[in-house]
Amino acid sequence: MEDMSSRLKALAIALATLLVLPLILAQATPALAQVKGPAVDRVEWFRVNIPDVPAAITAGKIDLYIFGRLPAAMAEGLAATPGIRIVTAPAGLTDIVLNPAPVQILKFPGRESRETVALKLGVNPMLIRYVKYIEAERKTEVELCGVVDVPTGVEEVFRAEKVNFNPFCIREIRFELQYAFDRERIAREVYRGFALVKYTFYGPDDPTYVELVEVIARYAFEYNFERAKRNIEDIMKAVGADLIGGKWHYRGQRVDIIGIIRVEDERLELGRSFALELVKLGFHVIPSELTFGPAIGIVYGTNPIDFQWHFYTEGWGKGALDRYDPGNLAQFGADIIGYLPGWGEPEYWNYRHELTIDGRNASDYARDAYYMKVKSKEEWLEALRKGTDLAIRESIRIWGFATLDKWPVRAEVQGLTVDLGAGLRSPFNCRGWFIPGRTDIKVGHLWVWTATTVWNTFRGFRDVYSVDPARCTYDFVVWRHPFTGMPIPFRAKFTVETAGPDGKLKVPDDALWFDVKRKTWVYARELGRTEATSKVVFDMSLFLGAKWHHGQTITWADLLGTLALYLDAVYDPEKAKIERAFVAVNKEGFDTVVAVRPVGNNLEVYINFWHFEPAYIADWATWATSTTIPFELVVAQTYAGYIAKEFALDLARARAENLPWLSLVMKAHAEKVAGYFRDGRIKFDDFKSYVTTPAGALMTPAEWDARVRALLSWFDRTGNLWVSNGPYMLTYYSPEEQKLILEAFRDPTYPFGPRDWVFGEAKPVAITEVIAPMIPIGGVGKIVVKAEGPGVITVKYVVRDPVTKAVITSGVAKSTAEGFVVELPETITSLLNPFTVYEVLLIAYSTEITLPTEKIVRITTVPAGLVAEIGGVAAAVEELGRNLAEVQADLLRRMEELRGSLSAELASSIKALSDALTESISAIGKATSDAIARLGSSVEGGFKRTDDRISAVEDRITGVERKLSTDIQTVGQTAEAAQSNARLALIVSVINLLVLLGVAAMIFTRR
Amino acid sequence: MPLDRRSLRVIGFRAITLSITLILVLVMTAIIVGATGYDRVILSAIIREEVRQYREQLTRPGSELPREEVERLVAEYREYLIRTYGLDKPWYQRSLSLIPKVIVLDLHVSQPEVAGVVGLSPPVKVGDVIAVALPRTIVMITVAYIISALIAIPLGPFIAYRRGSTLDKGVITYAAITNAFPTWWIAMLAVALAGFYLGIAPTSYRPIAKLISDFTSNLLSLDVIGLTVTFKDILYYSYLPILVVTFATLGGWLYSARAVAIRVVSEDYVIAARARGLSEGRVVRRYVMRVIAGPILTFVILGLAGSIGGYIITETVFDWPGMGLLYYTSIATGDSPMVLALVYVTTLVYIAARFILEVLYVILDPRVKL
Repeated sequence: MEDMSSRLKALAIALATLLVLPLILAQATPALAQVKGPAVDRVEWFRVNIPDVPAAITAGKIDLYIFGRLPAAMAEGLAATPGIRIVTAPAGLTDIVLNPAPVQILKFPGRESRETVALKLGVNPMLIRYVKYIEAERKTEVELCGVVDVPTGVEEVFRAEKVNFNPFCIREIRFELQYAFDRERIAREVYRGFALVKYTFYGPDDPTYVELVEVIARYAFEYNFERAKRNIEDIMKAVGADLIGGKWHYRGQRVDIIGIIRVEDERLELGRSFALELVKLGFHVIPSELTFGPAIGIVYGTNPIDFQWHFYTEGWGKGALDRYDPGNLAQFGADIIGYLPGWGEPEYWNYRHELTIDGRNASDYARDAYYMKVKSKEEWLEALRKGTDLAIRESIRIWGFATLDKWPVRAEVQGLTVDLGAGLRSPFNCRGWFIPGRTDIKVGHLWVWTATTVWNTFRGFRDVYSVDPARCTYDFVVWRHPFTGMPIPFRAKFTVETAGPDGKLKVPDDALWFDVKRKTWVYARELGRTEATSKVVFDMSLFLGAKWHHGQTITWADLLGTLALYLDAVYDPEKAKIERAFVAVNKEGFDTVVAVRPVGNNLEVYINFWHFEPAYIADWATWATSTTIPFELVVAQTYAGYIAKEFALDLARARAENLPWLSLVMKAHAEKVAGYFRDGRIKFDDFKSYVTTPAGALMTPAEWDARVRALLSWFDRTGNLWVSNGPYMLTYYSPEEQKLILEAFRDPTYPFGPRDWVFGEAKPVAITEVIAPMIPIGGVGKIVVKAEGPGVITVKYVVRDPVTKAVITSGVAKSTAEGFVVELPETITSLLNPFTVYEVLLIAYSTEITLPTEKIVRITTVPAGLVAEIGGVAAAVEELGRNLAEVQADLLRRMEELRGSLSAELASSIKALSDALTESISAIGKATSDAIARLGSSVEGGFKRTDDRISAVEDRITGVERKLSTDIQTVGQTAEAAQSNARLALIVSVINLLVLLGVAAMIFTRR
Repeated sequence: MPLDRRSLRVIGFRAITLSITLILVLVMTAIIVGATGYDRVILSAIIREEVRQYREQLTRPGSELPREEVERLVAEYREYLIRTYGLDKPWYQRSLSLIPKVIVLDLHVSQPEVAGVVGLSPPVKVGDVIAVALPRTIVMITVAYIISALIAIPLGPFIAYRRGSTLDKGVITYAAITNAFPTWWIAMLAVALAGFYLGIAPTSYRPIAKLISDFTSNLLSLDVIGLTVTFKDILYYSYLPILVVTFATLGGWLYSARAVAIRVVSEDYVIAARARGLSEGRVVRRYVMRVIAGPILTFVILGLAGSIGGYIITETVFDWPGMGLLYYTSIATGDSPMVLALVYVTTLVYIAARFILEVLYVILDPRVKL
């Protein structure tokens, strides 16, 4: 039995081994076999000027062009070229900013309101732009859009020199101008389809739009010139302007509009188009078509009340997709960043909001959303909605388009991720792109190097030309999802714990913080850092233990040492004075980080930051994760900028102190920095404390020496000092040639393979069908929407008046088995007018694709009582339809039978005809051959007679010939002499002709 | 031929006149740049843009610096930039004070974009920037001018002798055509045809910048192998641009040389020389070439001196950043030191050329002394 048992055991083990081994192998083999790093071995990155792009990509000199600002006509041409495709993404914004400055500013004694001022001045209140009581002076400041006579006792603070009236100062006129701008036509004809129409700064190119659609739907400014003209005329007349000779005048002076129109791109046509609309509205427009420099010199470089411009065709770049983005409101509708006319310049007149909701203006709401001064997502959304509503109504900008950047790519390029925000510039692309059968990719860019293209981790990477290739060389901790804009873990998974906007978490006793005074890591509690709003745990195991490009292992010394050096640069008072720009832009971020705690391979980050989306908290916590370059390179930059002071780390300091702006890829700079190590000027002892925690040193001198040797070896090999951890190594960089080369980093410790970050192309949610029956007034209306797409789909709806765009109701459609159902309850339908058409705006998006798909359907209302009758009619119609279908089927069957019998009959007729024809043809053939035979014999006789006659003629000719030959001999001698004379004459004639032609040519040439 | 005192006095007088002209040109340029407010407008716009970017960095979502603190930092930064760009000084201090330093090219470029034209990082002296840009322009434009001159000088009189001939008419027509078409347009055609379609020329000319630098380094280190290799590469990258510029300019040169010669060949003394039975070669050398040498020399030397100004658009087409692009970028970015330095260098070269001509006139034509 024992033997049996042991045999069974052995068998069981063998079986188990046989079963498990393939599983183990299955797990292990792909891991071993999987190629690490990117999909191609080499990327050549070089400059191609925009006009050369079509030829370069068609001829295969480049595989793709990563600078997306191609002219629409060029992109259109390339799109039609076989073998080339155009990748697009909304990466730019275009608008027309209006100058709302007043032409006169008065100060009234005491407190006044708009109405009382209007009464005292005897003007329409619309002429008054802004009224504000100044407590300190006990006066009321009044901004006027048209010059008025100053009443006694009123102080005139300002009066414009050149103009006496500014129509764009009047909010109502600005708003009406929204209707005088034919966005659809311009998108179609000028941008040739490479633009999405926008009515405000949030639009279908932006995920945040889906949260604001109820507000924006009210302002779908369809082109309605007649409305604009009518209303603007009313307003102009109401404020005292006169239309003389088709042109508006105010107090006898013509109203001139200076338009600054950029010429470099489609904004030229856009600006001209807008100028033309203004002319049609009766304004005298003075267009000024300028390039970037002169244009911004006038628009942003002069005081708005100098009236050197009235409108300007603005263009903006867009960053990566952001699911919850308060930035657009803050930038374009509020005074936070300084983009409202006056631009925040203290010496300029600055725009002040005219409208409020609940006593708060657009900037107040923008500030709430931008700085997260809210307690919940609902509050945040409410602030954003109110701010956006106010900004649209104030109409400082006439929004036009989200312009699509256009990246031409050869059709054979695969492995791309078409980021809905960044397009081809998304860093996911270089990780996955490849061409079957090739190991390299050739990338064209407008520039590879400019004088402001700087690779340093303190204050470098301030242009797209460095950012694009650099992002291929390092991995991120967190990045934005290419289709949703949500922060996602990239090389470090994360978990988030938060105490909410008002709560606090306890920071563990063994959490660390860098003590700037002692220049070492200490327990955070010693510095009084004991509580934080949120905690983010990053799993750093994909960094730790992996290699840097120069072969050294990534350790905690890199992560904490780098953070310590950055913190020192911000909080050390002496260092803070050296690179002030670095302090200014980083202090606010570092201020929110309370402590860090390395636990195993996890990094816990304690921060005072709250957001309603935990992923955004994790994103913010990356302030404490510094993983781009190894510690020794951060030391080198610190030494170069702060200790040796031979380089500046920021452009401003470089200019002020006349220092080179450190770029680790410039050979001359890298050589000097490498020299610091070679000469022993950088010593480990001087920086050891930055990598020392209460638990001990994170780096030994031997490790430091090995790193320095590896770094110098890297410099000797590549001529640069850019060492990172991503899928590509920078092995060649030439500013003069405008070229760089990236080579694949295939170290086995690198965690990602070629396909790990390929997202492909987003398939937006499609609204496939909308079933919208008649809506009963006072009854329940039901619209069924069918939508398809990846992820969990949401369908929002807005019911509005098709003319006024007044929103009647809005909401989220219920997801049911039959589709997404929009239910309009009695309370809503009772608000509708019978026999009226309403517009339903449907917006569909999903958890995987947050850019919305829009569809507008129209619904018709009928009285509820009629619904039953209409239902009866509908049933009858349905019955009739069924009957008709039966009749149709019967008819079809009969027709089929008829067709069959006709076909048979036709076939027999054709056969009979064919036989008859054959018979006739053979008879004709026989008759013909007989006739030919008869003809032949008669011709033969004829020929014989002719031959006889010819012989007789020949005899006669022979006689004549003989006579002639004698005569010719005689004449020949005479002719020879004549021929010689004729040749001479011909030559003379040709020469004469040539001379004549020559003379003619000269005459022609001289003309 | 030794020069007498009178000749030397004439030459000395001309040297002084030309030097004064040079200084006047510099002063005028400085006044134009400064007094018109041109540089102030551009620099102010740049400062505003930088301040706006700075403000944007200071105000990030999620973390709020107190508004007063933002305003304080922004104001501080603005002042700092105003000082850096010298806008805190009146124009005459800002612009005229540059003149003495311009003369020794001891000034730094003020805009990174200007340094970027030649692939250098700021801070960089104007002289260093010009030293990089100038050889590039010489390789493309001046070499083409020299080739055109070498062809036109012997061919011009030859054509003049055959006035009205097919060759003459052909040259006139060629000159008319090449004058009518812009050089940059011919350049675009040439790149498309020879580069992209025929594949016999490069499509990207950027490497020339590095090759010229390498050539200079090899020359300084007397590296013969390196010199040979880089020279071959330079030839490869430069032949098409040189051909294009030569093609575009040769017509004008030929026409001018012909025009100068045509007047002389119909002079009585030339006809008389022929009538005396002198050989054509002797007539051309002694009676024609010597007379036309003065005007042709003027044309050639001033043409070569002018060539260093570069061709803005043609350089852009070939992505060949030389003096033309440097001029454009300096003016567009309001880089006063660089504008002054470029005006100084080009005027200096022109004046030097004029001076050489004056000396040659004195030597070649005794009447100039009178």
